[in-house]
Amino acid sequence: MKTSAVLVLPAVVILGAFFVVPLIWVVILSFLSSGPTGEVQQTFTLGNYARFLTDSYYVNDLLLRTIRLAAIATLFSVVIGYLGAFVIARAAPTTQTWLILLVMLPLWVNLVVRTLSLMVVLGRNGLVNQILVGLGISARPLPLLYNETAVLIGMVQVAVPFVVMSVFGVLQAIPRQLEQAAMTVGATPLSAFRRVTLPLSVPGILAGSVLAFGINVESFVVPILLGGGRVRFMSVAAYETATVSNNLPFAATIGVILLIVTMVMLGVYQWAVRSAGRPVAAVQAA
Amino acid sequence: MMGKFLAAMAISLAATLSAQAQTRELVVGAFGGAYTEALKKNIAQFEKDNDVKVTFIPASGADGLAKAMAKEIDVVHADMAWAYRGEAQGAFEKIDPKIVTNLDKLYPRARFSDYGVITNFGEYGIAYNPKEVTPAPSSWLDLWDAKYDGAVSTTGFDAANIELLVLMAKLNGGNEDNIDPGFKKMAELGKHIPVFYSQHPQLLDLFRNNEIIISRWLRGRVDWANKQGVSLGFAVPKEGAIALVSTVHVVKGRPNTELAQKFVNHLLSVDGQTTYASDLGYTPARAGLDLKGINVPYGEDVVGSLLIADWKKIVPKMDAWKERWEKEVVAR
Repeated sequence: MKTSAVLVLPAVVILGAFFVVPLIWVVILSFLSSGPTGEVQQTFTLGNYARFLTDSYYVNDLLLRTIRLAAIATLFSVVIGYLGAFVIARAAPTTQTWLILLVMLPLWVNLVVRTLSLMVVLGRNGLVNQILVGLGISARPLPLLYNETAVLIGMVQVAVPFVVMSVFGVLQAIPRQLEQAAMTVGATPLSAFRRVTLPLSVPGILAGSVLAFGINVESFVVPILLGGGRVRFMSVAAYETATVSNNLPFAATIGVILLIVTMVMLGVYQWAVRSAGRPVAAVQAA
Repeated sequence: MMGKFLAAMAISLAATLSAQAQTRELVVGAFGGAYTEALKKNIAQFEKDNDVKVTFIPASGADGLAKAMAKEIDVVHADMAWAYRGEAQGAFEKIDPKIVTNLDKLYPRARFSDYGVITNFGEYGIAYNPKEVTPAPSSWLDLWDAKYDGAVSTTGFDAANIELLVLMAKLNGGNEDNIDPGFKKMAELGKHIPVFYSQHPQLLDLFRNNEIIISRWLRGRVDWANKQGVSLGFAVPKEGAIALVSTVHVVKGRPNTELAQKFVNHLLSVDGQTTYASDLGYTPARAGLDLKGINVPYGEDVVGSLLIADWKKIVPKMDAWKERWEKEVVAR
């Protein structure tokens, strides 16, 4: 056996036993039916998928809303995260260490605690509203909690550190000389960034946005706490279908549909960004 | 050196295992938190009398039934919906009146079925901010009052809101089998609600910040809010308080069934039942207790006036009702 195969074995075994096998079980479950008191019946059916896909509530209110919110949050996360990563990459080495620590800090705090503290900040008498009213920007406290905006803010807060770390790694690896070279032949700092640094950092943006979208679309704590029961989300619907309605097969169906849609979207996105990046690389090579 | 160490490990492991084999273990799934702490209070005597070690694990609802079906626990707690589901799925043993001798001391309403028993009741009523809500609410319909539009709350589709839904159906010519009038009424309430609370501390904050001034809430939680410095009133509506019901069941197919029955009997004993009132503020299921000095509603009248719908009819419809709730009540 090759050494590389041995090294990858633990990861394969763990993923296989604790991820792939349960996932296969969930897929099988989604094709079974549920009895009146929640018992899973061993009869094959497409009914769960039909129930989801033929009902505009599930397709529009649930699936499309989930994807739309996750996509918008990803866009904001990437822009904010990229700016952060850029600042850190250009900072002095000591400052860099501290800034990275600052970015990692939220990841060490429990997500529920972080989300609850966000509720304090965004509440009617919270910090944000006090500032807005205090500065006269708004006459009355704004409803910042328990709506889609709150969920978006929560998701961005969760995803930004992941974007920063993926982009920072790539930015660090780009030699500064390339940008300087561009400027010696007459490029402004802005166009040097736009035509040299930005295209070269596409792999970081790609990795960061895939991570951010993956985290956002599976988000659970954030929509439950910040949505106030009004902002519907696939993960929350799957959980409640299992624990309140006690329809495990239909809960599995919601999970499988989300998984398939997410995977297809990420595939298309990666392909689109890669093929958009290719002509730029070709121009640079020439 | 390493060999000696491993041998020592093996010996100590064997010793632990044999020690465990000597004392029997009873695994009880309960709601966790203060509830489990209260159950633990009187457990030492029970353990001594029966030479058993009782282990409590958090397990209720979907999780509790799954653990019962997997035969991982001996006793499980549930609410009305999960109790009927467990019974229908054959998860429970019949309660044995020969061992559970306290059974005939209970209020008739506490006799859930042959497969389980209600241990205690809580009361959902109306919590309100007395500065903003005058006069005090007297009916569940006060939640619908246009004065409180945007400042009223309740939870999502939970057991107590299902009771409220059924009540609204009954007040408008329907019942468990004809729920449409209930949904029509709940949809009106939904329009007044800015946030469906999911956590008790969340509702406390909403009251504290004056974002909510009236809400469906639990009696014990209103006392808790007052202790937290958020002064609230609690009203029992004239239609009756909605019952929070805790049931207990003996899991089928476990080795210590008899012991599990004894444990259920222990929960229904005078000490066990008094603890529900003194430590948790819940109404005991047992009649004839002396609860002097404990501020908890108690008695046949209290238990008799609680709103408890026909859950046997509701359970098979919950999946469909949950979907309607999302479409008709939550959607604006």
